[in-house]
Amino acid sequence: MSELMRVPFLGANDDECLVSSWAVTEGSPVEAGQLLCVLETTKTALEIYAACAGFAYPMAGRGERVSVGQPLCALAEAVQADPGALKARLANDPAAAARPAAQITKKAEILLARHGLGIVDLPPSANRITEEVVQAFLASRSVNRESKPTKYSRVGILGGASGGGAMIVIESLLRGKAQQPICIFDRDAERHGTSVMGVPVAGSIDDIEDALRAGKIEAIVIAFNRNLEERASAFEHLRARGVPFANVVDPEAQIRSEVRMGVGNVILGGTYVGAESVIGDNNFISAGVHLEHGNRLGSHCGFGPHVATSGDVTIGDRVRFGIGVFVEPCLRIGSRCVLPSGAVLTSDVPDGHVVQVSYHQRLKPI
Amino acid sequence: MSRTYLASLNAALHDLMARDERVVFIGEDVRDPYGGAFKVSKGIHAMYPGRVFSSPVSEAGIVGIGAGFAMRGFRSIVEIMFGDFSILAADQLINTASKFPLMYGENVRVPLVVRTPMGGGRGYGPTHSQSLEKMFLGVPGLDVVSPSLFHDPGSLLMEAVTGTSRPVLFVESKLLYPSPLLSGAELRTRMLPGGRYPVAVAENFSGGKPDVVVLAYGGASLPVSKAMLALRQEEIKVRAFLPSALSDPPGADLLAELDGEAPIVIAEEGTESFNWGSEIAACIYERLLGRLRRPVIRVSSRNGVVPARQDLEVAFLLSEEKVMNAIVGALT
Repeated sequence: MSELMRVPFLGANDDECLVSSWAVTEGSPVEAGQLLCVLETTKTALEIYAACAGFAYPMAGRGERVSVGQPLCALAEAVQADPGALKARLANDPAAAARPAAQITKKAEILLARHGLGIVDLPPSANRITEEVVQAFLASRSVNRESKPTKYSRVGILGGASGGGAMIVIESLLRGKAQQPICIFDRDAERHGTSVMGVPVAGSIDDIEDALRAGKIEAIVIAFNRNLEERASAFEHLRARGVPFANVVDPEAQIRSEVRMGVGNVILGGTYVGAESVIGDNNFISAGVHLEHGNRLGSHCGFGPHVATSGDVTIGDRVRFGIGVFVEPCLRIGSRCVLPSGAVLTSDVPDGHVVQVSYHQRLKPI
Repeated sequence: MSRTYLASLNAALHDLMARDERVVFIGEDVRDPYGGAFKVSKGIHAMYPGRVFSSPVSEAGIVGIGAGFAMRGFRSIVEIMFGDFSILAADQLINTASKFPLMYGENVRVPLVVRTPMGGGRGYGPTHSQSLEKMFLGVPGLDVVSPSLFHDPGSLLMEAVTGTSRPVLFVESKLLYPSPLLSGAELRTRMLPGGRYPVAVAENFSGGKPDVVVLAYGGASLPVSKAMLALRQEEIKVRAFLPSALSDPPGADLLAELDGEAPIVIAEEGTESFNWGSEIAACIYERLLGRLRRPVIRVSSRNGVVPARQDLEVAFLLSEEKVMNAIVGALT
């Protein structure tokens, strides 16, 4: 790229000056920063240095008066056979020294660097890479994507007014900002009119549809969990009547990336659901449960606290877990199984089986 | 095509001379047709020969005489040809003109404005290229005012001459004289409300929050505005605050505007240490320490003498490139 050097701004006093002397001759090679010529203004002798390396072609003669902005010296990439043509071209072409816009904006570059990425990580593009392009890229591959387990914010609780189920679901709902427990529906008529943690027991299961129509609640979650068959049939009964179900996921639960979840699940504090797991509907998962990545969980299951599964475990429907059950990787647990507290699974469990744990334990007075 | 910085000042001088017979003007080489070394006062000698005095080369003398005129009921404007020479008038300005109103109370008023251009970039060498205004900051009784390209220099000069009864050091910039004032077409501009010497606010974006906030004044507005224009294409949003009264600490309004998430860069033309930015940064830390995400970044000329040789001078002084690097550095 040949560069054209023009007479620079000379100060408030002068619009033009005298070319006092040249330090180079036509075609002489110069380095960047090398002295080209001296210009004389009313107050000072101004030295002009080469802006880049090249072959110098003076465009004004010694003793000539030149104006600010006038072409002064061409710096060519190579020795010119026809210097006149080069000078003419540079003098007429204002974009001769224009640099092409960089292919990525600095902001986009900074944003990539913050995420440990570079231009090479982006899909190739002919267009200039802007902040918007980078944001879209980050969103598409985001590992920090916020999961939204439910869209329903006004939640009615079914059952568990006695026995603690409603209480822990309400407590979890009260901790979060996205959802609100509105009222409890319980079959025990004695409980109607009382409240759990400030949430009133408003009626029974038959009152749910009226409450929905009146806009009091938007969705239901089932809190009782001792009897999984009852839990499942209540769910199916209401679902068939078009009642929407909400997930309740405690703010202290960790739901990792790419987890898919059905509806009506309760997931309490400290529970971990690993990446790429799939969960069905209407499961009750207590606090501190650990479901590793790639787990496949059916529907209507009940988990006591501190159940831990390894990666890629498959669990059917209506499976009851006690407390502290451990499941090795890649195993399959069929539907309607029972896994008592303390069980350690090292092999598959077919449908409809209970795991009998045998280790010796008894109570002995001290 | 908007008016130049110089034209605005020249028009204000004409206006001041026309409106008030008490205004007197003293400087070196100000007689027309020469009209002053930088032509700022061109034309006023021809029109008001009885009140425009071309003086011998004695900065102490003319500031002293200017102060004397001011004490006796005139409104004095004294031009010091190069800001570097203001040191020669330091005793008159600091020990006399600034102190008399404080020492003698309302009995003595000194409506004196000392105008001078500071700054380098023209190859004028170590003793003609400095930005020495920092040496006059913190002098009790002396206001130091400097218009930027985002202000109207003429209005500020008028305020200094007509609105004050104590001395003002009015700091102009050689490089800015021929520059067109930035009217808001290229960069959105507004003034913070209140105050005789307003704070200008300029942005290279519209809507949303800035990525970086810059504080600067006077001549630094040239490299800062160029940096902002260049960074607009890089999608980096910059909001610049440019106070015109350097001797005032940042007010509550300005500090409130700085209280955000954007890192702060202070750009000034003076040498690196013990300057305007040091004081502003200290005020910022006093008010906003727990709320800052990172330390204030200061960018300026290097410590040393301003070289005469062009390439060395460019490397030494505050530049568009240095401002851009500081802004980008604040984000990485």
